[in-house]
Amino acid sequence: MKNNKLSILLRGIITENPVLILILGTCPTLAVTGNIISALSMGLAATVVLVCSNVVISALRKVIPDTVRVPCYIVIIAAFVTAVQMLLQAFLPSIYDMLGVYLALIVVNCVILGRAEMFARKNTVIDSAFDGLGMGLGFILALFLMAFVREVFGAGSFAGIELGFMESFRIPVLAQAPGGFLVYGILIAVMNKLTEKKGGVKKKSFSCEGCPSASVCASRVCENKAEEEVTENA
Amino acid sequence: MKNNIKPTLTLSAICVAVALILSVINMVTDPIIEARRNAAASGALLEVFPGGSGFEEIDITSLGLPSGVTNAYRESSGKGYVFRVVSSGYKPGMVIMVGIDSEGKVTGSKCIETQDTFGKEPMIDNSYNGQSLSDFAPNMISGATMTSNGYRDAVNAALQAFVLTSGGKLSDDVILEGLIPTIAPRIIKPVVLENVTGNITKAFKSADDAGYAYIISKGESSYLAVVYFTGECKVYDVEGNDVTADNADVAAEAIAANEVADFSATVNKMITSKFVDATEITEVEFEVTNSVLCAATFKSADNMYYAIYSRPLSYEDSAMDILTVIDDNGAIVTQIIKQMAFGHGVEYMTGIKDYVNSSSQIYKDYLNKFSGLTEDTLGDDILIAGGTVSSSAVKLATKEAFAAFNSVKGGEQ
Repeated sequence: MKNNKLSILLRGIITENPVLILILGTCPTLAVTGNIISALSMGLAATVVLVCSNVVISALRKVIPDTVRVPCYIVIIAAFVTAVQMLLQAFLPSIYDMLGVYLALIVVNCVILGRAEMFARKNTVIDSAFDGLGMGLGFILALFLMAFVREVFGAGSFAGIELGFMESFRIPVLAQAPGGFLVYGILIAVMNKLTEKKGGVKKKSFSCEGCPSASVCASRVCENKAEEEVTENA
Repeated sequence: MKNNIKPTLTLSAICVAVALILSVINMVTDPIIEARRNAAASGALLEVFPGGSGFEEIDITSLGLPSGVTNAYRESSGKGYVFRVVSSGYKPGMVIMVGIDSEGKVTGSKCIETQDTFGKEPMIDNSYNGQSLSDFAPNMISGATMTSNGYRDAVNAALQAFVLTSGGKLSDDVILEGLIPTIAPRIIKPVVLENVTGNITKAFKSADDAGYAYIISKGESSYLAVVYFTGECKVYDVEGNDVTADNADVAAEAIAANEVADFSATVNKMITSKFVDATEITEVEFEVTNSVLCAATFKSADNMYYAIYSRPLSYEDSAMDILTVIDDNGAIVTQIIKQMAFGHGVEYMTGIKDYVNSSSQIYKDYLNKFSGLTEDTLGDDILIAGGTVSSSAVKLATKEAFAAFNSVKGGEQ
């Protein structure tokens, strides 16, 4: 059982890393990775929301009717984001100012809604908490890696501290938006190479099976459901 | 039906629960957020009002403060006020905080927001400390004139706002003085003129000594009289209206008080800079026109020349110094142009200074256009694009130089 929990945790960090494998939460990833501090704060804030919403959604999974599950998830996620926002503004205003609008945009972060839909609504509270934590850590790790590359090589500083020796070797474009895409693409490529060897998710085709979320997606259920809905409507 | 009710109820219940939880969190965090906001605001206030123990915002809607003053904060123990003023530098939206103590002296000033690119605001910050409305002297920074102007206006507005906020009334003199930057932007230096008599209460002059402004009281009211170097005088009332026609006596008094600068020394200097062997430089009488200040004759290499010194108004009403040298046959030999108002000398021509400097080919070509021209051959094509106002000034000066030349020649014959 313990092993199972560990594997749930690790899956989020490496084999199903939300940012680098599932390609979710791209907007905040690109937006806040200009420096390490904002990347880590964003990662932490998203992780808190992710764990909390996973727990609550999992706990309510038998109460929430299927037809209104997405609005329910959004309300719950938005509540946690708003709470985090108010708490940050009250107790960590500098981080609140740094994250700006992206803090509020955690509501629509696909990682969170994705985990609610893919995992929390089908698993126990404890498993969901571990999944949220693992995904959160994976999100933080990916953000940190990107921010590290972009800040150290792009801006020549580390967490806001000027690195004198980097001054002549800076690649300024990395700190700008196009550099964000470049670094993102390179990190995805590296991650694919690494997980390929370990028998991770293989993206062989564009079919349903090639989808990185195939392992958690009950496609057959979906297909059946679609048919059911069609008959209902008819 | 049952299928519809359950989802509706569940969603509603979740929404209500969430709203309740959030309102509890809001109750806890709101006072803290508010306190932090106030602390941040009074931090900025403390920077311009050191030693203040706390500030409270006061209602300024009924005070009729100068436009631009958006907020006023009273120091809680009554030591003074801080004003937030929105002014305009090179671009609009320059926000400046000005602290003023109970005696009406500036305790500090800081630009907290600006769209200007020069970034010279920090050089002006706090430079007005200790000044009050009665001894207000603008602090101009070259290369950032517009920014300095905006800053000056903001501090001045705050000082006026202080008088109004603390229950006082602006005197007519102060209101008139506030009009000078808009009415006569060149006149920026307050001076103490000796032998000022009669009704003149305050005098100002421009940086190049070529213009003066006087505040003159007449009966119950005061007027602003601006004397340009051409001798022209305009009189304005406290509302900024041109009332020259009704106040000829005020204009006469202002013109009488104007110290006429001696231009002959300048003419000598300009002539000898170009004609090293010039002899017999003699100032001559001429028919007075708009821009000509002085005329002289001189000899160089046995030829007789006429030098006409003009000072037309150019870009933004700044004066341009032009010496037109005409030979005995009425053809232009050379023209020396320099801008006097901002001390760049021959380096720039006013108005086209952004485009043309004295070493550039355009400038040389431009001046060469005049060589050999006579009154008859002086066409309209001597204007240059990118320097329309300046070249118009040159054209005016040249035309009037010919008029002066003719009057001198006519006198001789």
